[in-house]
Amino acid sequence: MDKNEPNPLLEKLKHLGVFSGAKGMVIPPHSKKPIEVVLGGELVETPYGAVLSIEKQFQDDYHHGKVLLDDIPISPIVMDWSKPTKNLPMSPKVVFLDTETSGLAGGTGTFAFMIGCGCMTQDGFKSTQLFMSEPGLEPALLCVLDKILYGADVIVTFNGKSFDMPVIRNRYVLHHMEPSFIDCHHIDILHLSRRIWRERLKSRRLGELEREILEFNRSGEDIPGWMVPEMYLDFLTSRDPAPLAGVFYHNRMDILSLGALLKHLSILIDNDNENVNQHGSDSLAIARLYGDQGLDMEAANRYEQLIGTNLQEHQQEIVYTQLANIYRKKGMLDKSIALLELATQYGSVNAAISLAKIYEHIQRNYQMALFWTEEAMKYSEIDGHSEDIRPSIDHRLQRIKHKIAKME
Amino acid sequence: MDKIDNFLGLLSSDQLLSDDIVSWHHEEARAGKFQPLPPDLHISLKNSLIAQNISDLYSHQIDAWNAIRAGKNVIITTGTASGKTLCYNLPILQSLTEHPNQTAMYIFPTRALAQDQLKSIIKFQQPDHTTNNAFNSSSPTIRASIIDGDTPSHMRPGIKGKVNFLLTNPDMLHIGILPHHTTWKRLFENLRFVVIDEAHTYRGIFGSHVANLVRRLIRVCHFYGSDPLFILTSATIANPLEHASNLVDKPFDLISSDGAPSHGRTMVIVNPTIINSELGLRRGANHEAAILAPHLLSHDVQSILFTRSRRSVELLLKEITNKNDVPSGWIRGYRSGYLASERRSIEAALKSGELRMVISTNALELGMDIGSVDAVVIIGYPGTLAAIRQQAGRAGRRHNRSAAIFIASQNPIDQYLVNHSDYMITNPVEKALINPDNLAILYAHLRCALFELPFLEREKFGALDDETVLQILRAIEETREVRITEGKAFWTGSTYPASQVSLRSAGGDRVHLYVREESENLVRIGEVDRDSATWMVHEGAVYLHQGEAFLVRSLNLEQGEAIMEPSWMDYYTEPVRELNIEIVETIDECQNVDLIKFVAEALVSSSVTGYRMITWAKREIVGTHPLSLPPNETLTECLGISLSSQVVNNIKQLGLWTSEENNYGPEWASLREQVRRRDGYKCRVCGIGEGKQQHHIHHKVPLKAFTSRDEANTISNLITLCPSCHRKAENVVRLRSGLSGLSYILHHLACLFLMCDIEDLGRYSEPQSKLADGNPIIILYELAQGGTGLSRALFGQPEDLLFRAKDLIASCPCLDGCPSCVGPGGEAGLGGKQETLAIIDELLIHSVHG
Repeated sequence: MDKNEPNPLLEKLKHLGVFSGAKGMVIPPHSKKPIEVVLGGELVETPYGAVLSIEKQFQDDYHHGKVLLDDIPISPIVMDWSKPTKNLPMSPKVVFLDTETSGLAGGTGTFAFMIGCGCMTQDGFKSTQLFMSEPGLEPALLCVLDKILYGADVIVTFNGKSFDMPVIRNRYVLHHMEPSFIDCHHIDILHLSRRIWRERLKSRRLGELEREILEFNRSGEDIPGWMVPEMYLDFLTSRDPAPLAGVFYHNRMDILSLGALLKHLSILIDNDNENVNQHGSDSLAIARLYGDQGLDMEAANRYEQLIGTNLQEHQQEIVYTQLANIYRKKGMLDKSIALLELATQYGSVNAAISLAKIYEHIQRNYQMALFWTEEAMKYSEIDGHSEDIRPSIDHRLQRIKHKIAKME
Repeated sequence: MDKIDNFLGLLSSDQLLSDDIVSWHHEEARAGKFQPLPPDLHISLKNSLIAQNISDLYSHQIDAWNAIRAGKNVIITTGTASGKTLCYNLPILQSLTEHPNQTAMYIFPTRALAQDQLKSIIKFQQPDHTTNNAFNSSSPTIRASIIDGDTPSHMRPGIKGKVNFLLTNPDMLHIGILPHHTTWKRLFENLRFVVIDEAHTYRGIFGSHVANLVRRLIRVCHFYGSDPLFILTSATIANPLEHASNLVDKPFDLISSDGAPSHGRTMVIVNPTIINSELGLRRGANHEAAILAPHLLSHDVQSILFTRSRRSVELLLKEITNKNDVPSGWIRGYRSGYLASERRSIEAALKSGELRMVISTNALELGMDIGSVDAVVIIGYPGTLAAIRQQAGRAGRRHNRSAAIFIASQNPIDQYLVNHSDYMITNPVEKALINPDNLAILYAHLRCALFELPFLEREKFGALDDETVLQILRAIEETREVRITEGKAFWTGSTYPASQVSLRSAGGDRVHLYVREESENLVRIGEVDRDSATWMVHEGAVYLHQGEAFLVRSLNLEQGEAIMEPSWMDYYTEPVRELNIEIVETIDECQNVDLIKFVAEALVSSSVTGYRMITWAKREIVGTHPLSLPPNETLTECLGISLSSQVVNNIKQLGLWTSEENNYGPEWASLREQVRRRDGYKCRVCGIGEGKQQHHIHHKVPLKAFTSRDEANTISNLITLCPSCHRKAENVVRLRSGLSGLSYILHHLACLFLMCDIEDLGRYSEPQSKLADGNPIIILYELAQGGTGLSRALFGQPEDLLFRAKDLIASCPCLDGCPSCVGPGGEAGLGGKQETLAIIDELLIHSVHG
């Protein structure tokens, strides 16, 4: 059936109410210039067809916001946190990756029509953006992507764990292809950003991070993310590549921001000891990151520096309890008890329970254990969030009372 | 004597009940046909069977084994509790033992059933201590798992990586698995068996959806290079092979010869006493069940009472617990709309025996293993004969003796069945009808299929030809959701089309039900589909849940929520609906001088215009409220029968045409005034004077019974009545039109013979219809969007229906029409029996001659 023949089913479908009809888009006429002429770049030939590739080299004095992109070191803490499953080389080949897709729904029907990659070179940051001008050219796109990612040790994305990488993996499966980067190590900057900036920022969206952290503002050329799928559909209908320039810009900025964020985070995490007073909540999050990586003394150092700073109450409480926890592990019980008692100033149920545990199980001072258990119960009634732990506090209370009775 | 005998003894001697028993049917115990285990059965499976006390198989299990081992697609239709599960489990386990990479997918219509059936597979996983351990190394590794809406997302990757028996339901396959098939690559590449259990439930709209889902499944399998066998099980239906091939576009072998022993069951057919012989009114079936219930409880007979609707579950539960002193926890309701956790706990309590009686909709009729139930009470025809058998089969799964009691309602189908009980017990006549090529459903699933994989040039979709596929793809192109280049079609939409389609209803959207507690907290108690919401939970409706009444405060269709509060009102509510039908296109027509019958596409719009409040105690209407709700529009198919003016004249000459609207004539206003003055502006029955409103004027002998209006309007035939007395008087003498009587009985009988739910078809009759150039018309229309083939099936056989209708009306003991033949009294008065018969006779003459 030809496209221009009348379609007998169309009217029926409209009547059934299941079909909303055309969106009535009027596409203006345009010049028939080839895409690589309008947008720059070159066509990369593959056995499956040609893909547009646009490379951009940024000089090593390029600042992305306040971050100088001359080099992107990865903090060992960040590396550890991202749990590599195999040994990585001393200076791994790192690729920053971001996709522009047909939608955000996920599943087999969501595809990437543009995949941007970035990496550090000796001359500075370089971006390579691949674009398919027809959905049918997807095997070619995947083929070229595979070549670019060949030999990469680390892929860095923003929310790629749950979106970009599953989409890309699906696409290879759909073409019965096996990507060579399937087991490549992956660092998702979104997850790390959530850890560090959950308290301080309204959201951890890339735009927010660019403004608040990188102090970077996009130019008017940028296309907002939600418009991107529509832009591609417009291009498929009109074949006019000019409006796509904004999409390329958008994607390129995403990749640069990825690099800048990773550098900023790495420096922040590695050197936090020296400039704690900048943002207490960042420092607290970093201290916890060290703690979670098992670097107790590093973490303790950072917590100690946070004592007496102008943190909010619940943050101060975390500092005391976390630090007390580390000291208890190291056998410094007096220090631990003193810190926990400080935490109970803020009505910390956990601190009171920790104290009760120390007195009951280590010091065997049941009267003190009883005191702190009763305190815990009191706090839990006040704070209103601890209802579900009240039975276990009560259980502890009964047990300690029983022990006291037995001793008497 | 055991408790069942005691109970049945009571039935036959109890004064209140014994008179109502129409017939007893004793199904004799039947010896099973056993065969030894297959010689090539893997030793570990053999040991596992022996550990389950199975040392031989029923003949049909061997038949299934042989067919499946030979690589045939089969449909198994043996009786309830005949071991259908083993029919497929055994050959599949054998194959997976021989080929450890193979996988199998089991599809159950409900989540509950999947939960239940998982246990039957896991039984084979038990380590076997009776034999030499050396054999265990080659025993099948069963990695069975359920994936459904309840599966937590963090568990899914683990399941995807390992599972070789995947148990799921159509909805999950539709929305969760197929659109993400790449993550199930291993499963699909090695998929050897697809089991579709309870395939008879996949009929009508749901079945048409599932047929398209299967097309998508097969398409994905082919992509991964697999071509699985399909094994279907079904309750008894008339067209198992046809249904199987409609559902799965493949040839099938039928396994129907049941080798399982039967322990004998007593079926009791009960027709409630006529409480008003003139009106032919019988005691309500629910009421009859409420009389029966305490006897079941006192004889320690564990039972399930099946009712027709969600509403009657609640009404009956309320009636039984209010009238009897029942220990708490002995009786509960069960129906869709309850939360899953609530249903699981009811199932468990039923199985443990703690729960003595469950009042349920058909939600419990599917093959859940809920343990032994001594008796089943089927209150009213449950929609299909197959359902009667399924429900009866719930009794005595593990007992030697069991009882099934069918209580007939006033409905014509029930009354037909009471008088033709052979038809109910032995005759397997129902067909399961589906229409996989229903355009609305096709459109929905082609979008999903396209999302899953691109369409290649000239690709078909199951049995659907490539030209139609392309036409629909071209239509999708209008919304820019597809890119067609060089014959290949790619999905380019930004949405997730599966989430826009609900398999269970044409409507799709759900309305969540919230109860506002005293603390102002909202607690979700259930959900209904959008189309049902307008009549079930409109503002002011009294909604029943677990026997408790809730008053609906607000219904927000955009947000999909209804907010209600606990209600202590002494009334319940009933919606008032309004209907309009337009014919869009005639599909087929059969016409002679006097009669036209046609099947057509129709636009049906129905709206709930208000509701009535009816007291619990006396079933009196105490108020009516208007509502303004958006109409539900359905483009569907219908069967129409219209009569020529010649036929109308013939019947008029017999004095039996009463279908015309009353026209009291130009003098009526002055006549009214005259009569009111004569009667002193007082009601002639109760004597009450006029208030703000004028009293009514009533024809003692109705207008329609006269040949001329002037005769009817003689002053001596007119009296003044107050509105309340007028209503009572009208109920006695208002004549039912033959036309509406005919539509009533055809509607019911059509549903019986089409194996469809009474709610799948709607009826409409109009004496002077625009749709038939001012002539009378009767329309039976499908409620499902696009239709499911019911109207087309009816088009072939209205004569047969007319014969049966004539038979039913003639054998009805009522004097002049009743709810069991030509319609219920409350709706349009009484009478109409002669009139309806006259129309049938006219129609039969013409169809025979035509």
